[in-house]
Amino acid sequence: MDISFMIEIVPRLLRATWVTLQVSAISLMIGLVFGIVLGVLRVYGNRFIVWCTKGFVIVARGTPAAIQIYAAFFLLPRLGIRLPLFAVGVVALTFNTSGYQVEIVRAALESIDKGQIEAGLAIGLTRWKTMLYITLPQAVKRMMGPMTNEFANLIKASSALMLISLYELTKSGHAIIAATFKYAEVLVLVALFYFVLVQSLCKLSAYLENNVFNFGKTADPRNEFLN
Amino acid sequence: MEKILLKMEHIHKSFGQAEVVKDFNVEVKQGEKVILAGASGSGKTTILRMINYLETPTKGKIWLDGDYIGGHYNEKSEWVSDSMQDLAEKRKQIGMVFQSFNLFAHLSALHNVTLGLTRVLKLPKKEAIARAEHYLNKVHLSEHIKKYPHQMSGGQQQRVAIARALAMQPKLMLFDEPTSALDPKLTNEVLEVMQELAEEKLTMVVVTHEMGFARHFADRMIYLEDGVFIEEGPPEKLFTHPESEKTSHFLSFCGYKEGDI
Repeated sequence: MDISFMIEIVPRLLRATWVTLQVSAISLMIGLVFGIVLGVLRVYGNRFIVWCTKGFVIVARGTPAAIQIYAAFFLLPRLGIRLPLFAVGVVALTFNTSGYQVEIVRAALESIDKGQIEAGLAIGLTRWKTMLYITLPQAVKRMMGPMTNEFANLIKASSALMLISLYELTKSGHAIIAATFKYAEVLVLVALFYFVLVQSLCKLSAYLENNVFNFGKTADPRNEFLN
Repeated sequence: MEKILLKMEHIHKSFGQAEVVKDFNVEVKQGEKVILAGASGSGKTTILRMINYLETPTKGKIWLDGDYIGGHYNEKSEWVSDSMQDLAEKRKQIGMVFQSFNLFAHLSALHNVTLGLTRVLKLPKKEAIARAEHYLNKVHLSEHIKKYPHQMSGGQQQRVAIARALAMQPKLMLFDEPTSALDPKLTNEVLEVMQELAEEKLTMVVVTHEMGFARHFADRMIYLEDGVFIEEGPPEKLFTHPESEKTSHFLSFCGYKEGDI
């Protein structure tokens, strides 16, 4: 392997990594808002709303990310919506990730013991306030694991944005290969960059799960020995 | 005569084909302590849960201190069901203690109690904390207010649950088998607290299998079988001279025989 070549292309790949990180992080944040709002409506909404959210999930989960990216790229302009390439990427990825996040939020909300809800109702909270103050805070902890999975998938799914020539990590690597034919060097570096992104995310998520959403220091029995 | 606080009129409840409560009627006076007794599946828990509409009666009306629960009659004497908002407003007058405690798992003992005070009664934070501390002290838990539910014993959890309900200063307290999940020592902790409340003229409706406790605690005991009211009276009378064969049969399983004193 040509080490000096690898060092030489690091700055180019870093710039592209920054694009990957941005498009994933923004989609993740917007997707999180949609995921939680639609997930809550999926559980607490009336029949029509539940039907709509179910339909959304079927479409978003049932079609490949690549098709959704093409759809955003070709169909949005037809509807008179002209967006920069980066925004098209965000729309497509947000659509994709929201579909999965709705189901993560639904499953977490429904996993909370019914007794918690009854206790909330019994002290005079309305159904919505019970959800807001009791069910949702407890469900957030249970969402962390599956959400981390979803975010890791999202970062990797963003590589499909090369299809519409958004200059993210995979596209950048592809362009370097096309110019130099040095497959091995480029692919190893690209894979390594994705790996670092996903691992940092997992570490952050584990920290949040154990420290921020840890209800009481001894929620983790190991802590009893540390104190 | 003391005023009547709670009325249940011709209450029926069915789950699908099974009718678990059949034409149940009761009037509870202010300050009265009523025990609902009966075997598992006799409908006593369902009756208790209908009082604050955690279960909706299939037929019949429930009345608490001037208002119907679950709805009201409009000017044309038509029945209008309560909205979630109305129902929440009525439920805050009724405290409930559950068999499985149901403490909010993500909140400390103190915040389990303050949640209702700040979010339902809209008390300022300081006042809510002072009131919560007062009631936690009352159930002998002032040293444990910072603990989370999973850090407490069952008896402590149940006492937090009692404090949580009391802090709302309800007109009526409901206890649904509050000691069924506890060992005898912890059961005793909880029963002692209930006994102390009894001395304060709080109106209570209690479902329990602790017949020894029921006997000296209650003003009145109601015996049910298969969702049907069998008989009622002072516990002493039910234990010593029950009118129905069924009552004496059931109580004999609890270690009491007809004629026991």
